[in-house]
Amino acid sequence: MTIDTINELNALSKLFKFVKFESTDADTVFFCASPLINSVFVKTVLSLHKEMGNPIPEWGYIEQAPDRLQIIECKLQNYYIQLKDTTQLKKVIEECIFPYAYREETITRMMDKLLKL
Amino acid sequence: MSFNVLAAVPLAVQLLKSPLTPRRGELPPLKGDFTPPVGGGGLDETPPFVTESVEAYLLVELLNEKGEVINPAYRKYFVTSQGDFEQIGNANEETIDFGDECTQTGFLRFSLVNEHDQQPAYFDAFEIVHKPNTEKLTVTSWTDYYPFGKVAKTACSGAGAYRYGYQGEFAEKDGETDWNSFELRQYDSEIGRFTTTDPMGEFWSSYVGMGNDPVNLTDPTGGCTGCMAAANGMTALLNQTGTFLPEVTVIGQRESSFSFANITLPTLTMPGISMPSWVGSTATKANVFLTLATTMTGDSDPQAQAWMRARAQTKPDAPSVPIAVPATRVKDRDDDDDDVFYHYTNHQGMLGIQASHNILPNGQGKVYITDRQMTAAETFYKLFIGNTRYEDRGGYVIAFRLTNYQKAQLSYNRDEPYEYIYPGTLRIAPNNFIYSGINPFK
Repeated sequence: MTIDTINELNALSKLFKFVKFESTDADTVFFCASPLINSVFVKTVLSLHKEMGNPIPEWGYIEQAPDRLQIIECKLQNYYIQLKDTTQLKKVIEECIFPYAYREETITRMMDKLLKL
Repeated sequence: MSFNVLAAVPLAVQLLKSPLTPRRGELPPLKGDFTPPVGGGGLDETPPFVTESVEAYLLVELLNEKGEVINPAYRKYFVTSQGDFEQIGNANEETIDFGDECTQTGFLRFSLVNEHDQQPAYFDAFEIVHKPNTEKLTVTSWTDYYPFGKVAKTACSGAGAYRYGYQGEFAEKDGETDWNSFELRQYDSEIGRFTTTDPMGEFWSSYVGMGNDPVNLTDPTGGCTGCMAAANGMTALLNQTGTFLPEVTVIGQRESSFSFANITLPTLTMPGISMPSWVGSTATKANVFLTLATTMTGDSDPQAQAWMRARAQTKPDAPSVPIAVPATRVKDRDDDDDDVFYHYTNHQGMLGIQASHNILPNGQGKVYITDRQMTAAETFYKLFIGNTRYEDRGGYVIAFRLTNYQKAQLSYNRDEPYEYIYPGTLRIAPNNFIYSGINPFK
């Protein structure tokens, strides 16, 4: 099974981006926190840029994309499953932020906020 | 009717006489019991009235930032009446001086007590004035609102932001949702609508805010713009200059005797409104109905309305000084190495943009633009991912340049090879309009 055209890659990339960084639906956390989804997402974007002859994108720090960070926070706050285990919560946040890098204080701040809910 | 005022110096409250329709607000519950004095009045402890003539009096309190009364002894100013219950103040304005007692940042709270059961008493057009010798008093916070309550501009200094914003105390803003918490409903100032239906069914649409007329109407509780709330009032930020606190209306109830001791609580006619606990907490009860609008939005004063309209037209658009574009933020990714952006649309969209020079945002408040020249087929697949709903969008194109300020607003995601996102309506300056018409790219 293969993806035949660059347009398919592009459409798939847009789908992943919407689910991960644009939709404010809390239920999408289910997908955002999946390492498998993340893996496919990165492969898709990298393949797309490779096919287009673009340099490999570097996502940088999530703090440089405050809109996306805000959406992630919003979704996690409204997520119907209350995460009280700090280890588990941190893992979920990291997966949601992926493929961006992050600063430790950002994770700490988000966890503090979420654990108080 | 006259107003008993004590002599003092720096901070003054002017009560301006005006026969305007009162607006309503709400006062946070007082802490502790409130016992109106009988036969006393004023700071000079001189009874300013005889019992039969008392109609209303004004209570002024100084609160600190936590809402605690700084001076445990309430400052009371009694209003006396010599005849029919009429507008307070014989002169065009009355002034209350507070002296130099405003020693810290906090709030002024005004309460108006009326013992009449039908006739309203109201103070109109409150204005807090700092006299020239009050150099230590400075503006600590201010907020401009668009008519429907969206914050246009906020400035704050020092500790303690002003807690109560749009429409005053009864529209407290939720920091998480950005909704205004009215007593009955939540209100979203972004769209000027309540998030739930109107329990009073006042308007044709049960979601509209202030009857779609926020300049002239307030909705004290989220229930009804014309209804009387149980206990309304106002707070005003201390240290604020020239703030109009428009009207305070008081409706009370009196029984056969005019003595304060015999005043009973009024019968509330509006469901869902709770009486503040302090009103009925003592045997000596006073009927307190304080109404006002604490923002310019709800003011019916012509001067305030004019001010509000002028403010509403002042939008935070491009500043006169261009903002430097971060080098890493926007870079030209297409091949022609120019600074031209494109917006692909259909015929109808092109006509609209031609006429208005505005590219309107989608439902999420975003305008998608690109710096790439594409054929109609390319746009269909690359931008609209083959969705037939947008099949005709590539047939026409708008080509334009952006100002530096607009470029700085673009969001550029590294994982997006084609598009930029502009937040809100994108206005294209006439000089930056390059082309609009049929997609010429082959």
